[in-house]
Amino acid sequence: MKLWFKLFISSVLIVITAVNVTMTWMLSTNLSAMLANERENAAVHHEYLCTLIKDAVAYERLSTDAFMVTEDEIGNIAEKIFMAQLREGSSAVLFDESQSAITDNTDEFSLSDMFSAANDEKSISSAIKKVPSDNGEEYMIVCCSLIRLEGKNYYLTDSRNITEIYDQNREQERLSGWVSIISTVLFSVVLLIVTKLFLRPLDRVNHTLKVIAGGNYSKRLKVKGSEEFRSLSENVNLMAQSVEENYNKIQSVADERKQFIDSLSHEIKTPLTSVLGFAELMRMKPDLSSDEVLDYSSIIAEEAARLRSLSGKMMELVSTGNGSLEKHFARLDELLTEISVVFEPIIKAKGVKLNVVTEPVVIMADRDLFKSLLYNLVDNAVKASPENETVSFSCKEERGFAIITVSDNGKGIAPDEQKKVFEPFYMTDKARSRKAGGAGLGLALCAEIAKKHEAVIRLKSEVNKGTAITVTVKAGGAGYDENNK
Amino acid sequence: MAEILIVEDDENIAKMISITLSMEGHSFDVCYDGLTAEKMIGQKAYDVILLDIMLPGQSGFELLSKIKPENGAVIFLTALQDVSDKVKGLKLGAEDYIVKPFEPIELLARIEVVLRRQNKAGTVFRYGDIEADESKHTVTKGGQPVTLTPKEFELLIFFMRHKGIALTREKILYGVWGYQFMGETRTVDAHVQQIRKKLSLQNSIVTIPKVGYRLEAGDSL
Repeated sequence: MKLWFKLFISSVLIVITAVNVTMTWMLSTNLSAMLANERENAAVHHEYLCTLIKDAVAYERLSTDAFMVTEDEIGNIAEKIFMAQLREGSSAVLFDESQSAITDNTDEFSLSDMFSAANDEKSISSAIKKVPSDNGEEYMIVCCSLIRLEGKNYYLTDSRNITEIYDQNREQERLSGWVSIISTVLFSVVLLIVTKLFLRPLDRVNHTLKVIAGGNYSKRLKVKGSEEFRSLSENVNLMAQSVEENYNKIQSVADERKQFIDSLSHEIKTPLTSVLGFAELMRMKPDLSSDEVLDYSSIIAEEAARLRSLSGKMMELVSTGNGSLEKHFARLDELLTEISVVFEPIIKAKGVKLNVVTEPVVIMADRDLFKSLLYNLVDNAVKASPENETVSFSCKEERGFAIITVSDNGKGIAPDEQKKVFEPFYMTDKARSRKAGGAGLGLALCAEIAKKHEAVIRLKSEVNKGTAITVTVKAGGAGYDENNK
Repeated sequence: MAEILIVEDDENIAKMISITLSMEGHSFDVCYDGLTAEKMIGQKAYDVILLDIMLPGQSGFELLSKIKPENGAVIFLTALQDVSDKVKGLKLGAEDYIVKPFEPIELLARIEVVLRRQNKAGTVFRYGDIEADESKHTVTKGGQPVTLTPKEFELLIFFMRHKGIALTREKILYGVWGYQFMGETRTVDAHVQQIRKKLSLQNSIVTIPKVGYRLEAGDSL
């Protein structure tokens, strides 16, 4: 069951019950008050009748100078008084001691129970009697009392029709029934509107949550409405925000990974296509000349070499990423010298000069990895450098940091490409890099190694002027022992 | 035969494709980046455009969305693994795709299918006095009808389509019987024997040791 419906139904039920109980109670109190009033009036009237009869009997005795007024005469006197005093709907009867009427008795109800209650002159017994009549039932209020006349006991009863009071009460009941129905309907309508109005923010929250759950994590709730809804909205927004942040994080990791996989598969499949294609061509081409054989097989060899270089770099990258470092003290200037020796035949072949300037600096590093970092930087610089130009390779210590600089006077890197060069498989000049056996992983590897050493790589480059890369790493001279490398 | 544009940034792959196409007698142009390709497509109508996806200048997908059907039917070459990339290419209007690495024979088969769809591939093949009509499924030798089983007929068409090219038994099995066929290469040998006998091609369909068969090209037309 929906919340608004529960609220609505329970409120309506409570109100209906309260209204009806109150009305019934009020009506019954009202009726009993009116009846009590009637009884009092009847008693007063009864007493008045008694007095009138007594006076009239006394007067009769005195005026006729009789010793006693007889029962018949008393009956006549009473008749006369009744005629004069009684109004429509009222009647009165005088009974003798033996409870037989001595005046006209038109009452259609039994009075026997009344006589036993009226056992002395002071007390007036009264009762309400239901009398069947032509149009339903009629209610009579009956009073009865003992009356002593001329030394004898008589009973006087008088009755008055009070059906009107009951009719009135019934009319009021009917009216209040209508009032309660109408008020219930009105109340329900108002309550329905109010409930819906109060719970509308809940619908809004619900709707927005559905949108968020559907994948639109940037959707936010408007913070408005009552205190509870404001706090609810704020918390929902906080939740959505953290979901969005996490989602974006995961998404960017996934995107990066997809990018990496795409590039990797491209880099693997491109040489593979050539290897497979040319091997196939050699097998299926009719009248293959020896020149063609040489051409095709050298392409196959070239592409296979590219695959080999890629797999080597990949292994290096993966092992750098996963493995833990074995950091030891290392003389940076020695590393530079070692690398420059490795490059000697290469620079000779290319006609490039390598200018090495060193200062004794000690750092904490994994020797092999750090050498690989420096090797890749120098390798890039040598490849980028035109013939007869100089590549400078230096290290120095500055404010507790070792600074290594590799710079060339090559063609430089365009500003929009400078950030991308550290991404895996990014190549500024694809065709040339591939011919040179590059896989586009060198700088990515450098970045990975630098990260492991908490070193910072900065790239400064101007198109057609050259590129300078600096690596800044903490110098760790303290505790270094020349004999204990 | 057909006019084909090769758009491929890797020089070796472009060269491999060129050689493959020239073996089949197609004429072709080569270009190495997306921007040049767009210009070339604007200047000349091609039957088929072989389009690499990862291109300098602009990507193959970008270029694909600019190519109209009258420019030529596009077969894109992709190294991407994702199915969604293939679907993307086809939705952008490509006729077909080939996943790298591919073999030359597969490339030729795909081109053949696209050309046939354009009704640019001939349905009647001639070899000496043999005439095979692919649409009517009839073969005549010197004007006399020859009865071949359906597979023998398909095998004959396969040879005629790849005249002068050495075909391995696996390739024949794949090309004629399809992927699903789990048969052995001996099935190929049996059918080749039948064709040789029925059409007296003993000297034309030569056996290449350790490789397969070749329908000699010299005797054609």
